[in-house]
Amino acid sequence: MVTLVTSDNEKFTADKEVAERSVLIKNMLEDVGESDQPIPLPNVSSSVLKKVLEYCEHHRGEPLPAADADTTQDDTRKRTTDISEWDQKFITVDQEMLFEIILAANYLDIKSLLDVGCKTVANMIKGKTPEEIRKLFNIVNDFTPEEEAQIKKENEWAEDR
Amino acid sequence: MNTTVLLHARPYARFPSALILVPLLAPPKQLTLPTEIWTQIFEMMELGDRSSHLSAMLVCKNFKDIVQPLLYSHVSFSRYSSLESFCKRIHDADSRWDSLRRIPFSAPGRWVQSLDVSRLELRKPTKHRLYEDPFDNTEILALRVDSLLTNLFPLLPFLSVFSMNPTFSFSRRACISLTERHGVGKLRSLRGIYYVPSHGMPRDPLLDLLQNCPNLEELEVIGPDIDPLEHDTTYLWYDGQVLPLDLPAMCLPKLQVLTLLACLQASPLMLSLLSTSLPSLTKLTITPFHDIPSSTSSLFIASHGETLRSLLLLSRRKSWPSHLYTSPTNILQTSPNLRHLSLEVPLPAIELTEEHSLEILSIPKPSLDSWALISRLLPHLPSLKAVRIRDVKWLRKGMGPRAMETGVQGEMREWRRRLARRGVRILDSEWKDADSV
Repeated sequence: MVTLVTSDNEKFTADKEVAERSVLIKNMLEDVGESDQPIPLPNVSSSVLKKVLEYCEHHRGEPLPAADADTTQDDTRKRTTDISEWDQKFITVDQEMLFEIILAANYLDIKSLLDVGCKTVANMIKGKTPEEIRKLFNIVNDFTPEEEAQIKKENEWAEDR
Repeated sequence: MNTTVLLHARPYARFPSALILVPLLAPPKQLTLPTEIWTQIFEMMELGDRSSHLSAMLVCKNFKDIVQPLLYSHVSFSRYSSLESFCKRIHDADSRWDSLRRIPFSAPGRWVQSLDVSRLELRKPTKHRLYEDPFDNTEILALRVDSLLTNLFPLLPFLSVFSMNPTFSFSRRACISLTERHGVGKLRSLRGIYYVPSHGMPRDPLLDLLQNCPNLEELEVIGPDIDPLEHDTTYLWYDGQVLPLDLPAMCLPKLQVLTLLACLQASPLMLSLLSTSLPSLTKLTITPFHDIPSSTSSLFIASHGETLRSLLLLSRRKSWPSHLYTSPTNILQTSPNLRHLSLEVPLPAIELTEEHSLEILSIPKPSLDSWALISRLLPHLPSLKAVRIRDVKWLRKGMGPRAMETGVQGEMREWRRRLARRGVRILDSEWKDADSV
């Protein structure tokens, strides 16, 4: 068993196999060796770690992507925005939590979870207008109308499908 | 941290006031993702999903910087006007690029990795087909496309995949431009190249190009359609002894997929490929042309069969009665590692005395000949999993039982019953089983 301590000082215990789906934790455990010392995760809050552990628990035993994965495989992994049913249900959370999960997956180095998060955001963007995307993610438009027109003009060719 | 802001209105008044600045709205808890994660997100969008990329680019400057290289990385065109405006954009940007930049290659040209003009429509759609002008401007447009590509290639130093439309020729000058640009060695895939062999010319531009592409993994070349019985084809004949020109040996160690369609017989390309070692070649699609004596296709299959996993014989023209002679009967012996073999009519009388690990056998249509061939080969093909009928689709389920049992469909269903006992499936042109239609 591994003990993890979150940014809000909450302790979580998880099976080694489950916690090691995070490459960060796996490397830490390998570096430290056999130890009962809790692992501090100062970038992850308890509510997020709970979700992350739920994900790791469900996917325990599945093969981890190799560090030097084939680039072509990597391409297919990236290019499909399909998400499995369980993952889809799991990732149906509010936007703040979604971003927190993505950031945690990035920090903890859990490739498959990061992919699920990124695919979800990609699906949210699909088919939306720039204004809708700004509204969705609370982004300020920093283009002048002239700049906007220039971009549209320069990329007219891209409207050919 | 104390964030209370006091406003001191009229500080010199007798009773100076201090007002607390109250925000009108509670500041939204803003959680943003770092640039590298946004990059991953945009990379996950489908390559063809240009509209989403375009929308994302107009959101803010940060998004534009991330998305723009992705938008330009894989470009494809179906309209001439789009290709023209794309070329203009690349040229304009290049003309503004000055020599003081850290990177010598101009953007967005340097972002382009894959260029696909295979779907380019050169004929303008007309409303009234009956009144279509017979002297339409297709040829002029083809020439313009050629000029655009010739001028575009030098500005795409990282181009690795190029797909051409084989309905019009890939000119010498375009080919030379592709060869002479910076980064020609990065080319990994070249498809849809319509190639007219340059007999008697001192240099063949396509050969020059291929000589400079050691990383090429995929090559598709389509030669001219020539019916060997109707034309004087003496120049197509290769007596197997002397190479007509001093052909350079090519270095294509990574070539995996090769397609040589239509008549490429004694062309410099074919002769050069014949003498080139292709250690990685696993998939070959070739027009047989066995009617020509000493067909180079047959020689090619025989000399490069060792590594092949998939061999597809495919004729481009279905003209009668040109195909009288069959493909070589020793294909399976010369290609011992074959997993998929697709035959063309007339079917060769393949003989097998030893077992072969073939898994899929494709034939154009079910016929008595093909059944005879299959039943003769079956005992020697223990790994055979499927027989694919290349040119026929299963009828949909809603059709009447009679339609299902007559003609080619009936034949296929009969074969299905017979082969099911041996665990061999019958697949149609779309690789589907009868149950999944």
